[in-house]
Amino acid sequence: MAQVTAGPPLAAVSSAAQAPVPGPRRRLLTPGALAGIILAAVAVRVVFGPAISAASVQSATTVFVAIVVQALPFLVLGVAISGVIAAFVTPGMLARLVPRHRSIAVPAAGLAGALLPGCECGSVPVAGRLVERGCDPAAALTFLLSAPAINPVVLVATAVAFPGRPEVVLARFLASLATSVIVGLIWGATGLPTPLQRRGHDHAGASRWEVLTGAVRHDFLHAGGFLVLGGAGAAVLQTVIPRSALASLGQSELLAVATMAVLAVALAMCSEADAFVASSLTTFPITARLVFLVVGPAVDVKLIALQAGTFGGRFAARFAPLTFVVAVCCALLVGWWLL
Amino acid sequence: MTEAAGSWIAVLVGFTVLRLSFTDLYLRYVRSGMRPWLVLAGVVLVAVGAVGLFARRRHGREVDTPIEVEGEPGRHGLPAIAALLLAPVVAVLVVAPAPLGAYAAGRQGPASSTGRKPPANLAAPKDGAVNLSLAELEDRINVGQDLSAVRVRLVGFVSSGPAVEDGFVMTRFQVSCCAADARAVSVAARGSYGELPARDSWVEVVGRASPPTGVQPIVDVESMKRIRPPRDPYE
Repeated sequence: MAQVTAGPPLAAVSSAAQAPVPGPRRRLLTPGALAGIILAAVAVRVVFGPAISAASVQSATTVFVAIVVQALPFLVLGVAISGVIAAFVTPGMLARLVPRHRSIAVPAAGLAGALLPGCECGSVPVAGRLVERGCDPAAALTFLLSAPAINPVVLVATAVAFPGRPEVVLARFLASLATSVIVGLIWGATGLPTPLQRRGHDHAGASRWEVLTGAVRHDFLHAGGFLVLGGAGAAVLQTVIPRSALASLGQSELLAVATMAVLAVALAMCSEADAFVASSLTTFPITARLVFLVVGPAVDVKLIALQAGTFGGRFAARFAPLTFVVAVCCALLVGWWLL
Repeated sequence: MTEAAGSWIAVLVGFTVLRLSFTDLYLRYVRSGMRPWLVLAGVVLVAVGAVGLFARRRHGREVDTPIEVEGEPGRHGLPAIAALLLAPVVAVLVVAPAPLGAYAAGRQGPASSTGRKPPANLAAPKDGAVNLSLAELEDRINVGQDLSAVRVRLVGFVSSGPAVEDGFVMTRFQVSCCAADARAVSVAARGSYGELPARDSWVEVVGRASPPTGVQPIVDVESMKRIRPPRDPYE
């Protein structure tokens, strides 16, 4: 049972959501309170109806709902795998499965990422559960980064978006794999903590089925709240930054790379769709667009929120910038070499 | 947060996803291919929520008290942030935000070429015109095809934008994954279309595309009619 030290309080957002101070025993949300919240929302809609339908708010809400709805099946897949690990995989089994040496385990975890087809939302709970079961955090985090970036669905989507340019697919694969492995090795070498935000413990006398569904429910509620937070942030940023303002930024190489890197974080696009957006941003040089494809699945507002939820705000504050820098460097090097 | 509240949230989110996928509402946000996965996710969420509620009944009321976090008195097993999941539930069930329209199209600016190669052959004409998606028309114009000999039928909504003289711009969004990655495909329309419907109303246009000139395809309209919004608002 390594690495289950209770983490620091989550980021400011969540502590705000968790209300003032821990009293002895509080019930934040009873079914009655839930009903109250929904009634309040209906009242807001009735009173402020005309204002809510203002085009910008409505457009942002559409994007917000779209991001959440698109991510939900992948999140459910991720928490289902995480629940199966919780119910059926013992730390002993994992120890036998994962190579002992970090220099082998981390690249192996990077390649294993190709096995989980989906967006980035699914890989975070899986990685969290692997750490809880005693997996080396360096390997688990490498898996977290590689799974959304190099799985077959994403690579095929990239090939479709860049017809006749297989080198873009190869460059994306290599740069993303390198990013995940390098970040994993650096994280392992620094020995920085990977604290799990503690989940509720299993009830005594619960059947294996109840453990499984309980783990799925906990992981879903945990990650889902942060997904909503990240999705809302991305929707607001998408609405605030019009794409029409970007066209002029593609002229100088340095500015283009910086813009695409920041854009990848801000837009929080699903890794299966980002290639289509990258291919349509033709004013940007191809290396800058590769940066977009490599940074997006590794660091974006939605992912940062999910990571903060799973491993704590302090972890995310170190891990996200590290990943960002490594991803930009890997994409630039591979881009200059291959494209 | 209590176990019971968490279970209710899971049930609510699952119910919302199922409602979306059984009413075509989901097409406002994601592609039609997502439907089976949405149904599966909805069923799983309702199931794990229901199991939580029944387990609570079976094990008695004691499970209903907030779970204390090990070593951290006062912190509960379920973070209160999970309550944020009610935001999309409310957004869908109460507001059901409309598909992206003219406002979002105006924010995107002039479309840029995708570099895609259009299919080799046009579809067979139906009722005297070839049904063409705006994206396919754009692709063909971009690779320099002259379609002026072919009568085409296009569907889109009226959007503002850089209008040609005496014309309007019709747009349809192309979505590859979800509405967050939508790309506006716009065509300038001119000619005899009668009275211009309001922004965001859907129209079906029959006409001929002018030979490729610049960025945006131009269509000389022969007839236009207002239509109901298509089942899938995106291409």
